[in-house]
Amino acid sequence: MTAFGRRVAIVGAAAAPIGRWAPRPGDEATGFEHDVLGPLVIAALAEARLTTGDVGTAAFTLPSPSTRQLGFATFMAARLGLKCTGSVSEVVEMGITGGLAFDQACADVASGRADVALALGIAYQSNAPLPLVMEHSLRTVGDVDFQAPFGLTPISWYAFDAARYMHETGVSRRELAQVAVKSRRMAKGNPLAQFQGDLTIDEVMAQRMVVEPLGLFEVPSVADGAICLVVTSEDAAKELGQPFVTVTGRGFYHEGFHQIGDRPHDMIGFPAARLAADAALAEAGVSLGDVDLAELYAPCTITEVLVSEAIGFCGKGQGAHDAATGATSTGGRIPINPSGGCLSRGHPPALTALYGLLELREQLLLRSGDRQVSGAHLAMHSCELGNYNAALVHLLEGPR
Amino acid sequence: MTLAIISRAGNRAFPPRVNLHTKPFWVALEQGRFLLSRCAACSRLAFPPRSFCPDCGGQAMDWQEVSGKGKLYSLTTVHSGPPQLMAEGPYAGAIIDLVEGVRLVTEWIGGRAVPLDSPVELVVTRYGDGCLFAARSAAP
Repeated sequence: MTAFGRRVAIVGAAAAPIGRWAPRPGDEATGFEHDVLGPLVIAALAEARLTTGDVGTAAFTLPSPSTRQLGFATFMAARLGLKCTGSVSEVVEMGITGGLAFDQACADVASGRADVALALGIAYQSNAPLPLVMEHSLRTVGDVDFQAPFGLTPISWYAFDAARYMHETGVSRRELAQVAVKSRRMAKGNPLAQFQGDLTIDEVMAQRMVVEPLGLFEVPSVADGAICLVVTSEDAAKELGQPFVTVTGRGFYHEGFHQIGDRPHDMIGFPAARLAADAALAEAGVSLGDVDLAELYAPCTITEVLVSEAIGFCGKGQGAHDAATGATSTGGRIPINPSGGCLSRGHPPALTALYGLLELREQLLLRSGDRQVSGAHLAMHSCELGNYNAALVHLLEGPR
Repeated sequence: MTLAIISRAGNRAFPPRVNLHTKPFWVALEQGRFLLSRCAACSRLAFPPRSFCPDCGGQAMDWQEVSGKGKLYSLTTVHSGPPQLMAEGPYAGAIIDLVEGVRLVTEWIGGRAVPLDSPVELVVTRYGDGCLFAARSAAP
């Protein structure tokens, strides 16, 4: 990040595997949110030979509706004994939340308000009562008086995208579903992934419908997660002497719509993704062809196809075909979501961006084992809110 | 012209709030009339109804009654939704582009396999506690 102030780097990270492990009522064997997140913070700092006493900023993602403790950021700052000069905050706006936490951490370091910043959060999703989750999600993704009464859940909007895309391009549901098969293949061996087994196209097609034309394996599953990333200036990262990746570009765009605009527009063009990516590339002084791999926030099969096409990794109408042929797999033209993405790595929405950034960091440090993208040096991360109404893109560069 | 009114048993699962800026819409809907708000200064049509104009910032709003005719932009059937709406099984939603150039989302009560871009019309759904609206296929 160079637009103002110092370049910043990711110097440490720790995360819990994504899955369903939040404590149910009466479960005394599983920790509360702070019990799980605290040790991850200490471990992430230790990786960079830092301690909680070094932290100047802590940008938390907003916990889920089932989290009993409110004022979570300042509560956690106290539990960790943080004394901060930059900021302590909970940030939130739908799916872009984790990206905004990372952005806040980077901005505080870049501006000099903090020398060490945390972007972190914990999401207990699986123990939240379904009616509460549904009501919150309806109140989030639509006008509460004129849209929410119709019961259109967050993924219903991606289903609208899928129906429209199939209508305009002639691409079939079976072709779109190839993204789910690719996702499971990519997640294999990822220790953080929620789903790692084999998956065939016939198995994807055989699942029950959730939001037509998308079935159970074409939409994300409920998942819990916890993660902490540690950011410092690039100069400080060099002094720490541990491997790090540098943030070289950042772009953001909000198109001024909430799910849809009230005048006809191309709902599946995702222009915010393209404009945010272009801005990040321009800031880094590189072109799209220089990018070696990408983690793109994509809750459903169709979302990965649309954002890949919008940014320009795939031709228009080609995203599903590229997943089927391996062009967007590890070893292909442009590996997209080598972690397995939302469908297999898993999707605690507030944390998904932080998990995506962590995957890119591991890839750029060339320590992803069997999943390693060879020659990974420049990586793109994108996250979004709504129907990609806003996108936040970061470019990360690995060591030479 | 007025919209067809379809009676529904029970009350609305998520009843909308009403205030001075939106009440004329709901009162008209009860009578089978569908209103868009229109900026008195720049004539921009909007839905949901507005108290200020997103284009020019004007804060004086008029109303314009529309035909309810339009085209089907997209369609989905929700098989996993809030329990309050799932009592009678899956339900459908649609994005509609009205001929007056306004896009909205609503319940869909037409066939589940209707081709996109085909002609549609709005209807009123009347519940015990008030009205909502929906869309269905229309003659071309």
